[in-house]
Amino acid sequence: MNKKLFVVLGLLIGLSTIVYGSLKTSSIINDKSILVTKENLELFYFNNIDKENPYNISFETLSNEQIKKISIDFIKREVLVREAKRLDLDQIDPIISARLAQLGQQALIGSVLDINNVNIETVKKYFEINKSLYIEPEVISFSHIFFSNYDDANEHLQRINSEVDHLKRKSLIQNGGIVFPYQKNYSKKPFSFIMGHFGNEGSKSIFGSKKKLNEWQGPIESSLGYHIIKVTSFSEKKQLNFEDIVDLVKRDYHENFMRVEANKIIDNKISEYKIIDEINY
Amino acid sequence: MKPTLLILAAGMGSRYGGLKQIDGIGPNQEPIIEYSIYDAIKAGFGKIVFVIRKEFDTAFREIFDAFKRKETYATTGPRIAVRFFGGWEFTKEDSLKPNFVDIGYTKGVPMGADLAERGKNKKPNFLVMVSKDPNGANIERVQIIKGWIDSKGKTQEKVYDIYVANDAGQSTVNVNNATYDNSIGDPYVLTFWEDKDFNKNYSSFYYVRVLEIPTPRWTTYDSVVFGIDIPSYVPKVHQERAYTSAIWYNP
Repeated sequence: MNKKLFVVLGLLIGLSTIVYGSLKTSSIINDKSILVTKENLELFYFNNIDKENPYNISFETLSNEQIKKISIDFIKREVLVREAKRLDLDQIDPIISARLAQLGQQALIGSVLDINNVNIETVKKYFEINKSLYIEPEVISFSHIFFSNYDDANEHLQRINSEVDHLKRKSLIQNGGIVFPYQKNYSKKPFSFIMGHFGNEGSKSIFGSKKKLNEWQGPIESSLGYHIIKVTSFSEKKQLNFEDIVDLVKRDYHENFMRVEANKIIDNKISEYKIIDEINY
Repeated sequence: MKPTLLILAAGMGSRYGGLKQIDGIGPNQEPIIEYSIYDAIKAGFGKIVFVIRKEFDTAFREIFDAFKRKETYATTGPRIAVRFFGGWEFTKEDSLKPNFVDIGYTKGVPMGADLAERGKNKKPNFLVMVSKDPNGANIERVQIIKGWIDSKGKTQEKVYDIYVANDAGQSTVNVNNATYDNSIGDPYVLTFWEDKDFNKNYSSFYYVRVLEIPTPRWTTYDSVVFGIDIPSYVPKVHQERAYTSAIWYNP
């Protein structure tokens, strides 16, 4: 939700800057004159305040003294910009051209499709075509005890499995092995998560132990050492239902649509230009 | 009064597969909240309030408590894990116990902290746990770097190898293919070290440095992928590392 809000806000600020900029009174009377008007200063103030500062006040509420200071900054900026342009520096600065291209794209694309107006049937069709993107991976829950060598792990496993006294068995489980850098218990974790703690081969062994539930088994080897493990639950990967993830699919559809439409609009605009390509490829 | 920033961080991270706010995502495993806090302070906020789920309470508190304790370490990239505790009462056996971490906090202090008051005729000792990046290279050596101010007021430094793999100094790197293997080094290290050179009158600090076995430098991987020769002045092999914040002794 926050992300969407920021995108919309960003777009609005970008567009308003462009629109406001196009409406502004020019500060140029001739090459060596600078016209200072309320509109010019207001735009300069709007463009240069820190938009995230909660203490910003509107231009209308500024004192004359504050406006005078803004005027001095405005004149200084205007002189420097003109000098830079006179030297064609705007043509060679990659940041300026990249920013202009970004503003140009925002102005061209605008708000092509409001996410609130997305047709649900269209979204459903998008889901059917891209079903493979909406699969919940297999997840596993287990506990483990870590050892630096196979023999210690195997011996401890035998001791746990042969211990009939409940309390002694519990103590063996709690006090066995050596410290593991990550967790002792894992709940509903996918392969990618387990791989980050046990390495690829270790994770394969853990997921390979899924058939024996609630029994201490092993030892299995991970990239850090040896483990005896008890798998408590396992879920196969499953296809998610459209009804359960409507908002997610809607957002994905919208993002995809915007990307595709943006390219179309830009391609159309490019086609309005005559490209003279002098490069012999 | 500086403004307060409210951060809504109660997402389950269901598509990510975990708590993305506190998982290490930066080059040195910095979590997203660290970036958020940095940006917020820079932007002029005086207080930051996180709205989280009740079930994440412990995990979040652990992270913030660690920030406050300066219990942090950095790596040059790999996800090497390090635990480092200092005290006066540790024994070699403590390092081999499954409740290593509990012992570390109970009998001593973690990295970033000051050692407790010295007992009579005691030398500081340390527990160190290091594990390699589960999908990376083995560990070649673990060092403690000690710094102190001597009686003349000069700063001094000494590096102690507290753990060295049997085959340290060897390399399995093939620079032509940008490969290495974990046939050397060790994946996991638990060790105990006591400062035999301790002088109770000198202010000192101790931090841990971990070195991986040699691996191809990133430029070597790139040179193989893109089929480009590396200039002679660019190193082809390096040793990734981790380094902790220090434990301090004040006389």
